[in-house]
Amino acid sequence: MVRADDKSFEALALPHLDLVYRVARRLARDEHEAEDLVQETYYKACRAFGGFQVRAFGIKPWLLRILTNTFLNRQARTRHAPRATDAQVLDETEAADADPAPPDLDYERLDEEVKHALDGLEPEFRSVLLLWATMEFTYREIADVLGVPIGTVMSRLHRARRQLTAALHEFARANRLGQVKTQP
Amino acid sequence: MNRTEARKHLATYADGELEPELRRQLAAHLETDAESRAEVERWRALRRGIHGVLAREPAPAGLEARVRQRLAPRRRRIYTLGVPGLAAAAIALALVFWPRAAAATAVEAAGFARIHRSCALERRHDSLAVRDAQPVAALARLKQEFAFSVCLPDLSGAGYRLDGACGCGPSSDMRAVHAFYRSAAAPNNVVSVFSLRGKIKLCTCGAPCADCNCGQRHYHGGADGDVNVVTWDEGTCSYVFCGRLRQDALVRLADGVRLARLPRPADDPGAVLAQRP
Repeated sequence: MVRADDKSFEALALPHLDLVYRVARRLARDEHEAEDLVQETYYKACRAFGGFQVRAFGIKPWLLRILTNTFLNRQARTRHAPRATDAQVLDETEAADADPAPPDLDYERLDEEVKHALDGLEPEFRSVLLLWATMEFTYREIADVLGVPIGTVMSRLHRARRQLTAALHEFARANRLGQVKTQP
Repeated sequence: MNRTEARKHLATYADGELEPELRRQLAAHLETDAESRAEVERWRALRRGIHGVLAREPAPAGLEARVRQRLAPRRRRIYTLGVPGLAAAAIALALVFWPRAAAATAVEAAGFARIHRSCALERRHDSLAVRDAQPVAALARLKQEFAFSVCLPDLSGAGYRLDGACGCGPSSDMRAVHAFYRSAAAPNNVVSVFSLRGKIKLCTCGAPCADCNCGQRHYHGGADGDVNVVTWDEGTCSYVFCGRLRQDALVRLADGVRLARLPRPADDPGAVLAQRP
């Protein structure tokens, strides 16, 4: 890993700008809000650059950690309803069920449908799913980025995939695409 | 392992996250069950599919430049040049910027009105995170980022509270802070206050507006549709009030504030805080 003080913040962080924007865009579901998030993320990261966290996480996971925390804090402020710990425990108990399998679709032709399905997820689920899909992080790495237990990551991912798969099945059924048979 | 038991773990298996023993058992099951193998492949395809969808999302043009601009004041504080370097940089900057600072930049009233509508009315754009903060605390927060005199009036006496602030300005040549205030009694009444580094010449439809001379300050007024704009220069900066209020009401609001220095150490050039007298 490159040490934070070996290079300037911009030299290390700006090459990841497109990636950070893409995650922000789907988190925020609005291009203006996404750019706000990106700017705030880089501003905060620049102020904290050289500290413990960037050395512990590496620059890319660290930027994503700041991004997701900034986004979720904004959401909490907007909704005035922080997610209860009890709900997280409940999530973990649900993770034992099998996820319904996704339909067999050609995703390269379905950008808008996949985006629509992602946008329909709760922010906590969407953030986990985006880190899972875009970064190919392990569950442990996602847990570190989000600052939550690994069990919470697994349960949120389970519920996110379940909701996403249901939306994609619905789309496939409506358009008579792919294999729509639901597994027993 | 039967299929029902196997299905509970297929998604996790596709992620490569199963415990070694369970992974071994599932791998043995997959050898004999084509349907489960197909499901594992569909989980992998879903992950690749989402990755591909997001990878095709273009970043907006100019994003990197805007992020660099946002980082610029911080970067200036981080770099240390030493005394000779600072002296040389000061001379170079003076040569480069002195003529520009002396001349007023022509700015259309529509530029302020556009930001007022977009950032204050439609989006409640608060990228500087000052909403509901006390003016002194909010100003201290802005001072961390902007190295020029930021006007952040306390309009509570007129029934307005601070509702947000961003770094949006009408011209990319000029650093700006845009703060906006919402009336507690009439939430649809929103007033934007801009602080601009450098002096401006307010124009409407390309022509300079007449001076209104309606207060102690030398105000200039302009309009864009239903949004009125008044502006004045003070020191090396320009300040702008705008909103869907009559121009005389904006002038009364602006008249009600005076610019005062935020308590800071003597070596800090300081921001200015506008307070009601």
